[in-house]
Amino acid sequence: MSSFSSAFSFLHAIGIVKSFDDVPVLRGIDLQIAEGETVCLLGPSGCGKTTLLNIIAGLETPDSGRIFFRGEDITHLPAYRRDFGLMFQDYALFPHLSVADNIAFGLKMRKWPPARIAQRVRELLQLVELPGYEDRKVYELSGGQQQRVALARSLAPEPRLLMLDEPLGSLDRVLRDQLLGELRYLLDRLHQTALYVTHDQHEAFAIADRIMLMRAGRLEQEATPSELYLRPATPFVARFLGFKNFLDARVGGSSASPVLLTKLGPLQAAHIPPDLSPHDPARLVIRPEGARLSDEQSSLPNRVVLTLVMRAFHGAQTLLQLRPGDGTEPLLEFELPGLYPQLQPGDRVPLSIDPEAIVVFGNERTDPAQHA
Amino acid sequence: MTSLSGSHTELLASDRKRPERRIQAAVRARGYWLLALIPLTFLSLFYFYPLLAILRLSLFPDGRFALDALRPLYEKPYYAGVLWFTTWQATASTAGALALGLPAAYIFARYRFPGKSLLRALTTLPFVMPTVVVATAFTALLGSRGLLNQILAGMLRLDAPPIHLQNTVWIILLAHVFYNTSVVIRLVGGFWANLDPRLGDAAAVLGAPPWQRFRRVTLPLLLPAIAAASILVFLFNFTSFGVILILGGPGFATIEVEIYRTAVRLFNLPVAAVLSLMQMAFTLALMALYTRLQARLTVPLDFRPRTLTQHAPRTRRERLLVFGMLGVLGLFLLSPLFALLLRSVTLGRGPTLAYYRELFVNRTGSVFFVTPIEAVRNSLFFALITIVLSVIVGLSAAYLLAGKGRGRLAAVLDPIFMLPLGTSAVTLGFGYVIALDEPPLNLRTSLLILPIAHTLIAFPFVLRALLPVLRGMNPNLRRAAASLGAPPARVFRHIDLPILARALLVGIIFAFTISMGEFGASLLVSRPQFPTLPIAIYRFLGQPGLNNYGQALALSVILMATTAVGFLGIENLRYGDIGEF
Repeated sequence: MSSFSSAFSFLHAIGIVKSFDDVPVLRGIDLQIAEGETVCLLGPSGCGKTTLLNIIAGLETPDSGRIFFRGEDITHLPAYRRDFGLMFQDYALFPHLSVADNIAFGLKMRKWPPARIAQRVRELLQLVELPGYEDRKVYELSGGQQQRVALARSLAPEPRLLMLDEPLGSLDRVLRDQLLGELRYLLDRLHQTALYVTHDQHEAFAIADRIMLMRAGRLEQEATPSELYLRPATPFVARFLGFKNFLDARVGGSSASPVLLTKLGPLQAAHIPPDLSPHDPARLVIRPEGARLSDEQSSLPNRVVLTLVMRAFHGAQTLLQLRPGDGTEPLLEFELPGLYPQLQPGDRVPLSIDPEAIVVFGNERTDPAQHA
Repeated sequence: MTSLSGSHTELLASDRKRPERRIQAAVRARGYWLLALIPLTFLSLFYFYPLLAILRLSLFPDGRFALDALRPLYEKPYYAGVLWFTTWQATASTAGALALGLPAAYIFARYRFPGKSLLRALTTLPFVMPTVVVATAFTALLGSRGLLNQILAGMLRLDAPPIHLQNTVWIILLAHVFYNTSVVIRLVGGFWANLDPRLGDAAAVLGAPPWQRFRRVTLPLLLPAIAAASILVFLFNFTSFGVILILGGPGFATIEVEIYRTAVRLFNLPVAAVLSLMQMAFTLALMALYTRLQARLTVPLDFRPRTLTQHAPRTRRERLLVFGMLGVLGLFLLSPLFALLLRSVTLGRGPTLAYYRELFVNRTGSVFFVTPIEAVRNSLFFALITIVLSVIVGLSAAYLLAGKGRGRLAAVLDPIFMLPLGTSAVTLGFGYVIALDEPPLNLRTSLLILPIAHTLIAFPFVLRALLPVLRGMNPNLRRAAASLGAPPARVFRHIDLPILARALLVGIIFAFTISMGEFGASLLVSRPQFPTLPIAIYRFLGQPGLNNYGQALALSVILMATTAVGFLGIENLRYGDIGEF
């Protein structure tokens, strides 16, 4: 993190604490955003991400903590003087104003001359690919069009920071994927600094330079999207990302080449936290794409044989649900590329597990209730 | 950056001591209390204070608690007679309104026919008409000089009018049914229209014949709506004033009329105060019952959109039923208003505008010292002040109730703001007469006292018109405006105000029509030199001679037209079913 520090004077929130009616929502959050960067606040609903966004926007006041913008303390600066843009999940388009007047609203508040406003509105409609929509009523637009107008409205005054609160949350999957790509392209093209709030990991992966995963008012992990996926720091993060194949293990082997002793047998993992020493209990998760069919002659490591419970066709992939040896462990789920019509429930399936797909949690990170 | 992060801990430590946050919170709280101050001060001064004065006068006549003032009430059988008449005429009128209103509600709930929305608006017209207009209209239809007598006398070649309904209980009951049928149609019909007809289908599949389906399924589901409508109609009839005073003549008195006569004609203030107290006890009990039933009305029924519950009449029998019922309804509800209009230009001679022309003439020895048309000017002037006052009080009350996180306070204040609606206008006017004529608050000779009384009756309507829009407004709109750089005042101007505009206009028209037509309170507090339209009509009706009666008709037509235009404006401005009335 220290490598970013020179750029981090852009936006810096320190020790943000907020309660509503004595219920703590934020329990001391630090957040830094560098200029031009897209940071994503990711977390389940109720983790406090929207509250944090509102505090940065100036719509809520923190109980304690400070917010700095380029070194200036803006903790108590009202929202309308922050020069930040905010896009809402429900868009909050003004129903009594036309598309053009919605986009022009922030410019009128800044007392731009009418000719410049008209010019800027045209520019933005071009940018969001709705040229000629000036006089349309906002409630006549489709969901995707409303989303574009809302984006244009928040971008129009050239905000120093653009905040987006689940901006694609109320759209269907196909439209969401399309708009997500366009949004990413726009933010890059405009070099717009952005803070993006979502509970959807796919959105976060697609849009963020950096993800801050929140849990119950605290920061659980801060990482780039690929780091987060490949190295979830805690079981909570792994579970939030949708990983299901959790196993209890004990560290075995020598400290030079440790192995993990599980009910599936000994497993090699690519990375084992240094604070784990032999005989320590450990918890691990296997990512769903980390298994391949193997045979007797295979030289692949981590060979295990499991009983097939169910096979489901998932397009390019096939989902296998498998029962480990004695049947007391929870089922494991793997996604394998290709079709496997020959596999039937009840079959014994030999698999090889990629050591890179095994994530081992360190000692102090093993307890899932540590922050509760 | 380094200096910044180095001072984190100091910053955090100093944070709790920072005064800004507490000041901000205090400012917000103070703004809130200022907002609360407007409606609460208004209610305290012009509602609770006059009512307390009534209470004091009736129970503490000499500063000590005494029940002496109550003695005539139970010693004189006359008052028992008043209470009996008040109750039975209200019961009979309610039964009449239900008898006509329920079949009409069914027609409106289940059938589609051309011109339906216009017809629905027209059937509601009687309800919004000022009492003096209704009373005058009934004399124009059924009175000795009325249209019906004229037609019958002409047809039967009689010299004297064959129908003698004026100053009988029958014309009172007819006028009450005329007034309240629309309440039944609106309340019950609205509920009925959304009732799922598949419930009846389900009962039919289970073997229930039509009558059983109505008795076992529809009726039980409708019962809360019918009960609520009945209570409301009973309440209106129980406190009826103008209709009884004008159509009943000296022989009939409800408690409301008796308060007026005791206070103004007999000047027996303590007895009038006790009567007011009795009236208030009755109305508050009925209001409480009504509110509880209203809450019951919101039972989670699986409401269906109206497009699915309604169809055009298909068989000949259905067509006969629908159009027959609508014909009866239209004839009954529109003929008095039509008669009023017709008689105002045909009274005593052929087509003439003489009575309208007469309004502009200042006759010596007439009822007024000025031209009668000045009553129109006075009414408009008072209505204007009423609008301003009701918007100020109603708007601040609406923001007070819609404020976020004020649930508990709103729950207490909401019914308090509705109290004036449950208090009779004559009681209110009487309270003003005895409370606001001496220091510290002497408004006896002030022209403001009338619009203040009107505001008390009108602002709950402004509040009710605004509240659903304000509560339904997406709070993110204000936040979006703030994030786009709009300070609070500009958020109000550019976001709140345009969104509230239609509801506010509805409230303004309500305030206008209420003020234009208000009679009971006006009769007690208006200055003789500044009569309002209803007062002028009442005075003309009390005078003998065709000329006076003709002018009463002409003024009534003006008031009727004003009210009708205002009401149709409200009907057009409403968004769908938004609005709580």
